[in-house]
Amino acid sequence: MASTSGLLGDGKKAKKIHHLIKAPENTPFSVSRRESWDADKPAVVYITPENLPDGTPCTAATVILRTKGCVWWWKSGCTFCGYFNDVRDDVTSANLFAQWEEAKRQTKDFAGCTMIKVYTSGTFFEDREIPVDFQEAILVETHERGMHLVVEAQAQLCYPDKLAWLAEKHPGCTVALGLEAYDDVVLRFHVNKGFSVKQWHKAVDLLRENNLRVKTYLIFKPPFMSEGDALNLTTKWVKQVAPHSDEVSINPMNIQRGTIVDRLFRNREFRPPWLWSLVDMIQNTHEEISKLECRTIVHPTAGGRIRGAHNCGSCDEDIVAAIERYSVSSNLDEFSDIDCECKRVWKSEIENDSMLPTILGSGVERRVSRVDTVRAP
Amino acid sequence: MDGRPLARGVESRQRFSRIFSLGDRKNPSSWTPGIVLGINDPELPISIAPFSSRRNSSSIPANISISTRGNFCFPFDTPDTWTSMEGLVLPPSLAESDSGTFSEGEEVLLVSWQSLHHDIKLNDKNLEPSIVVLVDSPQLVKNQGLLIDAIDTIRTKFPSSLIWTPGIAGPDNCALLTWMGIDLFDLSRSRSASAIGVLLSTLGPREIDYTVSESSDMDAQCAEWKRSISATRAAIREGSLRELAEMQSTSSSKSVEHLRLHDLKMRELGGGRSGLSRVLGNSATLRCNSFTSRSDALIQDWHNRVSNFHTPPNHQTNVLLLLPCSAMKPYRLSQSHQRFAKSINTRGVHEVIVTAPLGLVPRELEDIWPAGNYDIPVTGDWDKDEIYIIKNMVKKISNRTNYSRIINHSGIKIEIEGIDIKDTRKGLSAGCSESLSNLSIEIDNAILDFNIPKMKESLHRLEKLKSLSRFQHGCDLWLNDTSVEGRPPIFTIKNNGIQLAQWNPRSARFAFSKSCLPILDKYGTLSRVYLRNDHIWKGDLFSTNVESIEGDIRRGDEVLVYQNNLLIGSARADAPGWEWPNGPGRLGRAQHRL
Repeated sequence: MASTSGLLGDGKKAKKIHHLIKAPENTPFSVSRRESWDADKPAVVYITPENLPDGTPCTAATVILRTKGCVWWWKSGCTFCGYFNDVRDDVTSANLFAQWEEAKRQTKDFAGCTMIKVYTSGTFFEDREIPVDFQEAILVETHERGMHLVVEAQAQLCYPDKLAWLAEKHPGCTVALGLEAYDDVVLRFHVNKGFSVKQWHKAVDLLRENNLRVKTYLIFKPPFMSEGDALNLTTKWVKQVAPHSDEVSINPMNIQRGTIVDRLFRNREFRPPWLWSLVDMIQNTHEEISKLECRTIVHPTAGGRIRGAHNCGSCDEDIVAAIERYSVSSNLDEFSDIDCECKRVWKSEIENDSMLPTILGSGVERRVSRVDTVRAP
Repeated sequence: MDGRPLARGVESRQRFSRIFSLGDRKNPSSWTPGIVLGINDPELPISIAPFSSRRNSSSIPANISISTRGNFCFPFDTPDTWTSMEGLVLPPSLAESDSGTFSEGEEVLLVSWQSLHHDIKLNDKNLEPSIVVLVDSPQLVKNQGLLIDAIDTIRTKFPSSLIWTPGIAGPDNCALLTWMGIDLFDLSRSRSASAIGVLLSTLGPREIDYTVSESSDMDAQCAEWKRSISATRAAIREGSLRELAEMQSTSSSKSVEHLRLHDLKMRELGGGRSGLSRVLGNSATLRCNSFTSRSDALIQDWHNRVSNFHTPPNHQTNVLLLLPCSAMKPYRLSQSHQRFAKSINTRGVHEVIVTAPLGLVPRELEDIWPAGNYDIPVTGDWDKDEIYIIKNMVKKISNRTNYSRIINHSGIKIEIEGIDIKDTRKGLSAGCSESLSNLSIEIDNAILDFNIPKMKESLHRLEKLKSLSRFQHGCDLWLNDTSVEGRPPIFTIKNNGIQLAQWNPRSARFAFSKSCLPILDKYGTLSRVYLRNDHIWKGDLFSTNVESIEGDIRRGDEVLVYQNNLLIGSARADAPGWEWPNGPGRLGRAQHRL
């Protein structure tokens, strides 16, 4: 596209989406917030029920480390990612070891955990983000302790040498790739992901070659997309990526502070997805996915809250619980008894989005009185 | 992705609203405002729903196809389908960025707030899509004023295109959206209402009334649409769409907001640009029954022009006489004004009538639109806003004209520093003998104090017509060396025995003769229309023969017609300035050919 010169243009040079994504990172608030973190303390540590790769129920520890962040963020960044809020620019190897010790202290040395997820707001085995000595220490320690390890990575950073090294230090561990969308247009425009579907396939092949497990993240309802399109496309993407993945984790969009999505949300130009859409997507992919050796996980972060996937407010709790249960049981019966009046509102929104040229969606307020939902906007 | 363009004519128009007739103009089969049906919508008659749409979102960006439901494209043999690619669009709050891709399509053009800022293709003068779709309408309505700006930009850039704002219309706001310039709607909000058992009526959404077995199914919703569209079309034909839009807007705070912001924007524009008429004749009616009607650009335009530009007849610049209004228009025919006239023993005072919502109506302007056509509810009291407007206007016109004295028979307390004000009412009614006596005394005093001469009726009439010409046309030079003849109320204006024009209060316009055109040309009195040089002018004025215009054309204006820089005739504008020169249908009706 050319410079600003349309009918309403003021002649100023247009910005790229990249500039809008980076802008909040440099606000005084953001800088002071980042500098306020204790570099010796992890961002979050918690314990959840999980399933091991063979399906055995287990207890998993999740350790989210406070790191320097993601190299893609340093260059550009994803439209929805608010991890820049939680990083420090000056985190050292010593800090990371201290965080690791703190995580062990909080979990009583990962007592009872046979799975551990070590998340670094970026790529675990990217040397510019995480010092190699720390990478190695975690890989070796978790392997020696017989814990199944899950780490995250960007597809374009999955180099053959590094994956071979990873497989050597912790054979059979899971690498979670944030694909977000199985569509290059969506990756480029809606997500600003920094890699393509082809690169994801390449990374998957490399992981397979090294006998590493593949977990694929998809985002449900990226910005600049209607609810109807999100439902149709994500349903399709789940079916497309499942044959290549051991697990597909669908993350409904939630509003993270300072992101582009947050900006849209505050301008009432974006609503996190309906919980009904997630249920519909699960129901429409279940049969096909269940034939594969692939597990579907949907974890609605901030589910039922206004900044997370939500419905009308009265049915949210039950539906979030059912979705969470499905992620463990893979049983559609979890949804057999749930219904609510708001389902009809959701359905009409999906129908409208599918029929109308309203690219950004036609969604209305969900938590106003029944009559007011259809009052003239 | 191209196709045959939609054949369309304009059956009726008011400001930014039009009734487009679609298809063969001899036998149109549908009209707008109308509905675009979706694939799951109930079948509606073509007369109400001229188009259907289908969206294919199997890949991103999606495609949208719009089909005519009748044979609307020349040579009217089959229905047509136009397909466009939606593009990748950022929401309005990110419009500073040009990331994404713009829509592609010929007859269906999809625009967004972002593309209005960045898509240089939209500047193309040859771009004339049949339908323009504002794809981020649901987002624009949430950002104060953006919908108004977007619609205004599209409406004036593509005057002959039909505009669709998907996702925001209902039977409860279709008149309002039509007032702002939208032509096409959809059933999406009605579908949502039906889904939750609510009836989206012409007066807004409401619960159904079980006592009469009312339904909220789509048939009931469509019946509301039919009522709303019929009422909207009828209102455009009779020139009362403003009232309908005001009435509808009260069902939603957002609709009221849109109407106010639209009024505000239109007030800042010239009369032709904001779609105002100059001449509608005395059969037109302007009903100002709501407070909101005061914000209309028409009313504000009157306030502005009377306060800041109007100059009284040359022999009436010393004394201003303020009189109360009457229910009958023109005022001079009312009993009260005939009584006042008996107390006014001179033609040398400037009679100005105090009223609402127009504020002030100078006597010489009482026949013209809208002064001769308005109607208001009369309670006998002025509200604070009315008093403020009147006082403000009196102050402005007085300071500008430098009246030496104001004789105030209006009953409203007026105080202006440096001007001698005589109150003739003193709390009494305007028509009682005591106040009329006071009026008579003050008039006589003014005649003495300012040595106001007696003036011949014919000269008095000429000066009044000059003042009227200055107000209507910005110039009175064409009236130099003329005489006024004839029996009131119809006057003939002649120069050396040659008739230049006629003034008839029923049509409330100067009807210029062919002989007058060169004089009007000489003094630059009227707006100008330039025809294409290669065109042989036979019929009326259309976008096909008009090359450009000069001046602020209001509907009803007499315009001079030029070709090869030569004056070749005149015409009367059917369309307001914003539709010229590329508007649909007949823009002007030929009047004289030289």
